[in-house]
Amino acid sequence: MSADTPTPKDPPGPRGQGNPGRGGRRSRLSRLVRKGRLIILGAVLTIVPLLTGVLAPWVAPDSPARLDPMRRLSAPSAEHVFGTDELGRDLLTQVIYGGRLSLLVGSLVVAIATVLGTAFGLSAGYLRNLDALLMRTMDGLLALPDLLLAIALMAALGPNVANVILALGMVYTPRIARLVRGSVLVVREMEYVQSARALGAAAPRTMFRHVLPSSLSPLIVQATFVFAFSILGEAALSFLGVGVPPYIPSWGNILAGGRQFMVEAPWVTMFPGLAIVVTVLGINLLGDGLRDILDPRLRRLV
Amino acid sequence: MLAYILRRLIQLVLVLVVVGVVAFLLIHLAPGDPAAVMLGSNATQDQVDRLREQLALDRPLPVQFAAWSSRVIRGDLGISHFAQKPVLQVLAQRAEPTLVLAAMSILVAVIIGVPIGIVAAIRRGTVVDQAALALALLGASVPSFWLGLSLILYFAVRLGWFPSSGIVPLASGGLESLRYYVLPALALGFPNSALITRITRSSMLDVLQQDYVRTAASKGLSSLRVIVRHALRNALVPIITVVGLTIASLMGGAVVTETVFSIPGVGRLVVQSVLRRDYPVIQAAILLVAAIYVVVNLVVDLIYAWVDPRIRYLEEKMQVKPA
Repeated sequence: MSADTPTPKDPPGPRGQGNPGRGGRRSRLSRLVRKGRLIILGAVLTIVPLLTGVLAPWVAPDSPARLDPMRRLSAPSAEHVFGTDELGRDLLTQVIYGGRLSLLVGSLVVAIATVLGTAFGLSAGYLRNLDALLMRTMDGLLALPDLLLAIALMAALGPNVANVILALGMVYTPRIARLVRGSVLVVREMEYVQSARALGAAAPRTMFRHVLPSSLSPLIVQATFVFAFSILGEAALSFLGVGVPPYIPSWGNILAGGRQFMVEAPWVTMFPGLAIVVTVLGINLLGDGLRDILDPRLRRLV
Repeated sequence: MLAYILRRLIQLVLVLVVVGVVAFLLIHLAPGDPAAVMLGSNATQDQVDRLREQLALDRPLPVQFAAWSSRVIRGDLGISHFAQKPVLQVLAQRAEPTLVLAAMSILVAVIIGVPIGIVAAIRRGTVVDQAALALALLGASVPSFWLGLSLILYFAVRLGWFPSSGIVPLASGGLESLRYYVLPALALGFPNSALITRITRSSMLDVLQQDYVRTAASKGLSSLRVIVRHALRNALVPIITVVGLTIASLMGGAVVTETVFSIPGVGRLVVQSVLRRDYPVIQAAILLVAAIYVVVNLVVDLIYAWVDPRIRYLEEKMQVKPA
């Protein structure tokens, strides 16, 4: 697949090259408007669970640690909107605090992967003698499924929140590195970069001032997907019992706890699952929309 | 072509070396003495000392790695201290469920992804297309373990159509045992169909724009014939690639799916081994999955290069290009 093949926006009838038809332009506009709406929808779906997570101590109806053994596994009611879990804790509160953890994990994983991945990608793409070593290492890490590598790292590091973040950060670094390196390879041959070098700009300066900015938009798009992946990743690791310790509310932990009571109390698995789906769906919508706007070459994929 | 294969083989070995380093370092990352970690908590001091000797733990890391990898290359992946059996034997016992699950999941992903992608491309911009893209988006957003739990709740508990967990070995259950894999394969296959849908759609869109498809259509061929014979055939290459990649990512998903459905496969073994700190098993599983990944990738790329000589040419050009 060559990503740069221009594709006409409307299936019937090819348009002239320098003369976009009226219909074409209008449909592109309407596409953008529709995309704009999808981005807003995505942003809302993403922000609501995450914002309630940030504000958890104020918006959660209960304390996340308060147990009420008399009311364990009670169905959703006016008092407990999402019902209670197997220890009688208010499930809505648990889910809100789980969102808080997802936000923490997601943003720190994105930070680690972006910083390390950008550093590796820039170095590999710009300093060619490092390229082979760095990229073969990244290829090696990419040869393992994300989740398996994360589980293996957790096995070595031990289950706690910091290690979940570290492990997922290491898992997603190669993706960013490969992406940044790809853009650098294209950009470094451009005339403005060549002229900066010819003027005597040092390598680090050229990289940060001239090469990095033009690799930024695919990077932003990829970062949103890494955010989504790390929310799914944390949930999976915790669900398997190798992620966040069970006493910390996390969407994966709630699911793991509710699993045994799935038949009597399906709400315990339903609500955290829906929270994951809604949040990740929102981030994916956001990422797709951003990609459309920032990276027109990939437009036809969406 | 030969030079191309050779170069790819070298790359494959390099990737495996990196994975080997990762697997090797896992034990050193873990807190505590690697020999004690490998043997588990029940080992005597005497056993630990003997293993320390064997692993050359008092020597520098590169020497240890060389010793370890030479044993791995000879097929000695160590002993599972939980099962007290060679790791390879433990993995082999768990292989069947994982292979059946992976095969059925890939089938599910292709059966969902390819037709939907084709229809979406043909009906581009219509409601059908948007529904297909929405489904793909949903697939990419649903955690497979939650989907699995929901499938169990509805199709196994409520409706009783399928068993809720466990498996029956193929040898004793025959076709009947495949029923145990239906829900797990759906849970693992559906999220993986998302990417296949998207790639199929965009690849078909590319091809449908081509002149030869227009020519075929204007010759008066039936549209089914045009789509299958002229368009799909030429759109297949990226689809094959993404299916190959999906096979590899299934190996990661299997870990979760096997846990949800209590399937005694390699994935569940990995999770159990993490909880038991049975590191040799984890190391072996990582090496095995990476080996599967690189081999699948190589096969896909070779098919690719064989089908489309332009790829070989492009690769060569990129290699020759001065830095």
